[in-house]
Amino acid sequence: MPSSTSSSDVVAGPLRVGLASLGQLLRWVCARLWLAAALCALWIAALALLGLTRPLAPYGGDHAIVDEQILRSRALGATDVLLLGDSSGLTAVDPVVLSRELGGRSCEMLSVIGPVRPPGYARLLRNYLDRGMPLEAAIFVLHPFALMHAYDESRDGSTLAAVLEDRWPSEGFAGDLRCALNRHLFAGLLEEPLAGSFGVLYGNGRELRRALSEAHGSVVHPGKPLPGAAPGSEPNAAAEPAAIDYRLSDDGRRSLEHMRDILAPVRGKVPIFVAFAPVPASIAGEKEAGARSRLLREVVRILGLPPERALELPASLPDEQMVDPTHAAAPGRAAFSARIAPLLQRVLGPPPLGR
Amino acid sequence: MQFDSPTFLLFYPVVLVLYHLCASSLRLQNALIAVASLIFYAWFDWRLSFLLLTYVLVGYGAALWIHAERDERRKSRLLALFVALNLLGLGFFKYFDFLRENVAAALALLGLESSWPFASILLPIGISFYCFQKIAYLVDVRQGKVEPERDLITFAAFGTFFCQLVAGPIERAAHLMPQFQQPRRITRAGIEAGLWLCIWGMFLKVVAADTVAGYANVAFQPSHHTDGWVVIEGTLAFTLQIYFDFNAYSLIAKGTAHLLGFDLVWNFDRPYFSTSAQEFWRRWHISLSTWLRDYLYIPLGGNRRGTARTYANLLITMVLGGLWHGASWSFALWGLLHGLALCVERLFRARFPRVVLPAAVGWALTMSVVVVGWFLFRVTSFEAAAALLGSLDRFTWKPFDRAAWLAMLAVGVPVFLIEWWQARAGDLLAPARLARVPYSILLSVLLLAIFARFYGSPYAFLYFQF
Repeated sequence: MPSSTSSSDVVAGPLRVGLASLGQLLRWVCARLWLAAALCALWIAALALLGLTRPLAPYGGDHAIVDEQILRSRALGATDVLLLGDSSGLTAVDPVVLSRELGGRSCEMLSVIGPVRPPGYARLLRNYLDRGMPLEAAIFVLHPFALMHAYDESRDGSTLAAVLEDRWPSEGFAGDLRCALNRHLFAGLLEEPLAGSFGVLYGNGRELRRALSEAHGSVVHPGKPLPGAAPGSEPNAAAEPAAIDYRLSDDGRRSLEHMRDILAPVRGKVPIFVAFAPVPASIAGEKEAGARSRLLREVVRILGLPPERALELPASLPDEQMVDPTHAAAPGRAAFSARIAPLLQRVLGPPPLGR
Repeated sequence: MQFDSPTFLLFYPVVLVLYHLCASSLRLQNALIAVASLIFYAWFDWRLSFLLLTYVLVGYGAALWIHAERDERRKSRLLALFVALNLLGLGFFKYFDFLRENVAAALALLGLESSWPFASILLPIGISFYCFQKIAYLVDVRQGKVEPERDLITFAAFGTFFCQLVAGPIERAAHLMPQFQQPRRITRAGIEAGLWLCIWGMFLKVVAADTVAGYANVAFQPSHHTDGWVVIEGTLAFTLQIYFDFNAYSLIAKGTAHLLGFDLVWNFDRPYFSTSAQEFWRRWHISLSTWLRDYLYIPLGGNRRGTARTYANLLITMVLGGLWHGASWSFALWGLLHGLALCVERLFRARFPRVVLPAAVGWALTMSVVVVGWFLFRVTSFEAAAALLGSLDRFTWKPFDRAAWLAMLAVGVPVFLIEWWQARAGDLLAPARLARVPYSILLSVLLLAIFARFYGSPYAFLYFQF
């Protein structure tokens, strides 16, 4: 008797074979991997239970600097002089030189980067003072360019939020977990090197943090000294003319007002000074004579500080001591620190007894 | 698409599922592989799929023609013709710009100007690999080592197999073609081996290679901070990177093939354990070195035409092998260095047959040649090489140096321990044979490390550029 095969049998037969093969594959794969997957889940659960999966600072030199300074602001021991502000001061001032020149006063730096903005710099000072730590003087070293131009929100607004809210923005559970694994399980050993010249000098963010801490919160900029000034290299700034128009922008004003509000509870408790960082000599011309000094005094006024708190530091350094319009090179750092030490000594007076 | 890309992590499981659903039909499975492979290749650049198809069709037809030809001399002439066609394609896409630049430089030396009105030639990814595979196939058919494949779908699957298409291993028809001609048997051991190879390979690429790659890239970029330490660390980092990277690709290729029931050749056998240059070339990029031996060195005469000719054949083979990697004099120099090392070793053995160097000395000498060779391999130009070598007169310890050494040790030590274990066990799959609990612990650490680095900084597989 002839057998008949329906079209569904023609399809079902091979499909059954295929499903059986697939099922066998899945069984073997699961059998081999289930325990490893369970262990991974346990590791992750342990990290989560220990609170180690909270958002951490993303990779990169800027984030490493900001994160490290946030941690230092909460852990720093008693210090006499605290320097704060943006990266112009971070790279232009050497706390070790200052400490020596200021009669042995201890000097620490909590300067960060420009995107943190003045409210962020003030917050770091508050982090230190709110712990009841003593302080003889706080000096904000700012770059005037940052106050003259509009702030670009898209350029890393996360660092300001991290400082003000003490929490880095989440990169999603996967991103936060990735950071946690790198920092806590693999001790940062798998960290990428930093980009550009920071990479060649400091390696990765972990080494940058270590170098920053060892240098009392400051950083040597690894860039090559200028052969001649390169206007316009400051991020957020348009190309700077040879004569600078020192004029406060609306955004700069708002930023300073916010800073004033954060400093209000401590303004009367500790002397707060404000200074401007230097620019390369080749672009140090002022559109209006005395405009830089006027801008500085206006900043001090907006912050609610007495006029004498405006520190007139050297406005420029030779081009070969700068790497760009806003950052000093290693030779410039030493030179600038040595030049401003006597000025600060006059302002601060002799060191307290016992030093 | 790269093996370590999210796209491949979606692509491959889909292919795997469809492949197993087609388990009842070998032809359907081969067709699926051919189509999937074309999609895989077209993902890089869809235009290149036409080139690949051309190589497949020419290879298919040429083998049948050569086999059908009865006259031996005509067979050889046909072989020569089609090998030349293959090489012409490779030469055009890979070496035309190099040739043009060197001709222009030579003319400039004579005070003559030249101009080329067209843009540079696009280098099709993997062309060096599949061109060599097709040449080997045609030669083997001519020599009667394999029968030409008559079924186009089977041949297309063999000629485009995505697991090894763009970065090897360069599979011989005698080994791979039969696997397309008969039903594949999927075994538990094969699945377990495949899983281990894929995961270990992914770790080697995403974690080990990509971690040290960053330091190698930083070290080889021009900087006024470059000093002797940076040059040494950059070279060592690249030494590790190229091994981890290329071994990773070969392992993932082998592992993904295993999961489909295929067996690909081992392409690396712990080359950095070698104690002689000859041993190094038995362990490094095995499929390429055996290809060069069988299809270049031996046809040139090998060691059968006297001592001088043997040394010449070695040097020619190694220089051409260097140029296979890329159209640059630094690659040729790299090949020449290895050729000279092989010649010196041969000469030493001939002159002092009773002298046996201690393994440690042999290893140190071998690795010295290998590391110096990698420096030549990595530099982008002779000017860059001169600048880097000029930095060797100063050494200033910096945070970068500590970071680089820690990174190299962090990834190098675990890899070395695994390889040392494989050497002791005499089994490259030794970790896959661990008991369930220790194996799972090892896997969980590898998987977490892979996840931690997965979006770190994706560097393309190095051998994609060859």
